[in-house]
Amino acid sequence: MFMIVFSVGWVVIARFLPPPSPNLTGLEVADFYRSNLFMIRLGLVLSQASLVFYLFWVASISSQLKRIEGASPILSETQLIGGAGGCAAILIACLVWGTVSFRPDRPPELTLMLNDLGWIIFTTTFAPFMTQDFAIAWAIFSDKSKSPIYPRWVAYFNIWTPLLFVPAGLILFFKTGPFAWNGILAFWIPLTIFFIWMIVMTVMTLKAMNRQTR
Amino acid sequence: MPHDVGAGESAISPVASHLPGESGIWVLILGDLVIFTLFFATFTFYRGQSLALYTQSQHTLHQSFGALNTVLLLTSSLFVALAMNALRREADRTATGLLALAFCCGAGFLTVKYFEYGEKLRAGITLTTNEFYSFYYVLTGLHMIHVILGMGVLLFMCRGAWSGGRGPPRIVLMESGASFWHMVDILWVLIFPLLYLMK
Amino acid sequence: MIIGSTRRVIILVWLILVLATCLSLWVGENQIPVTRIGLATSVVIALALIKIRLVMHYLMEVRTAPLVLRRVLDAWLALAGGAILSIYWLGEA
Repeated sequence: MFMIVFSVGWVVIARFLPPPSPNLTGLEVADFYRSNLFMIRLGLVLSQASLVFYLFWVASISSQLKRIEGASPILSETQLIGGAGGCAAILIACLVWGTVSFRPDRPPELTLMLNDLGWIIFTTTFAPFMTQDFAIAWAIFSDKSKSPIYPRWVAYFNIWTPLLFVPAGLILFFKTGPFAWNGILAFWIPLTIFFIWMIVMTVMTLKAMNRQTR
Repeated sequence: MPHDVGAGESAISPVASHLPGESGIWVLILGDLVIFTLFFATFTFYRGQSLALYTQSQHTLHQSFGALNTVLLLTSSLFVALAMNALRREADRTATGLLALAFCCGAGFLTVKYFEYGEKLRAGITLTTNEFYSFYYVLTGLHMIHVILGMGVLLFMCRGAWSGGRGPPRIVLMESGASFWHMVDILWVLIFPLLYLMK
Repeated sequence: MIIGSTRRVIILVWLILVLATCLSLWVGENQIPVTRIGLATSVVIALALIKIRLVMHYLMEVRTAPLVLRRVLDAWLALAGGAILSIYWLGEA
């Protein structure tokens, strides 16, 4: 649900995909917002609303991890904190973009700065998501029961995903090319992997919940 | 799961095929291979856009560093393969020693990289000097993360081989680690010609 | 069926791999006439692909792995090699 609502709000309505180039000048950025003002505002509100689902999703993963860990649920708590941190980053990014769209007739330098801030918060935040991944992987590896809550490949999958969030840290160094915030290696691949990760975790968590109720 | 069929039996076993390592590790290996391939393709594409810049920058790299590192990683893979062979013959001490040698090759790789990076940085060449060097640092850096991770795995395997114990779960775990290390090797085998040799 | 390769095979394969590395270094480092550059690069990439297949089959023990995995890895190798070489030749053109 998070994915659907966020995609609709952020991609379809606000048209934030593909991202505006980090190489644009303040005036061009202001034009980007001014030309589509109403839709951008609406899209950002929707994007924020979608985060409600993200939090429920994170909590349901944690509750499954807690079943593995039992009495000392360090990893499930860590996953929870990571999820909350990730959610905060997306939320703040939406609010900052919202601030840009609130007064699009600001001096262009200010618009540029706020737009940068929003994009940098959104694209270079990788630590909280990485925390989630490692906590999930570690918890699954520690599951020694005969019928594990998550299959072990999910743990390996959760080691693979954070390795590919690393290039997102390169965004600060580049304004053009494959490592900029609209580049294939620093933006598109991590974004795609993030979505694949969400789908996999959703399916596997649902399966675990079904086994639990049975 | 096919992996626990006869995995612990020595040399001869009746099964028709045998998956090295647990099936889960292959999710990680195949996933990494695919993503690195995307990186390679992107590099080749951007290279085609500004050929002169790339060939000119490539001249400042030392092929010998790259080749030396290739040989180091291939040799570490050799030691890991021999260690797996030793483990199946229940020669645990030999296996431990071979794995330690593989670890040393990994350490040698990092040492060479240390000097190579150091030389480049002293010459004022950084991540943002130009597009070629961006790729150079990112590809080798991302690969280096894998090397460091893999060396941790090798240490873990060393401990496993040393502490003895028999049975399928152990050998499957060791095979998983070995497969991961071989993947690290495979990735470098492609990175080397792309960055250092492609004309 | 024997799992993995014998020691003899493992060492032999390693020797071939090191020789192939030297060969690709020689091809890559030599002063090549401009008309042959594309060919030299293709040889170097092809050598890398062969090396990878050797590592996978004889060191990584893929040779005796289930058919599915062998097929998938061969498909990856063909795809990676094909993509790199075709993008390379497009760039040269």
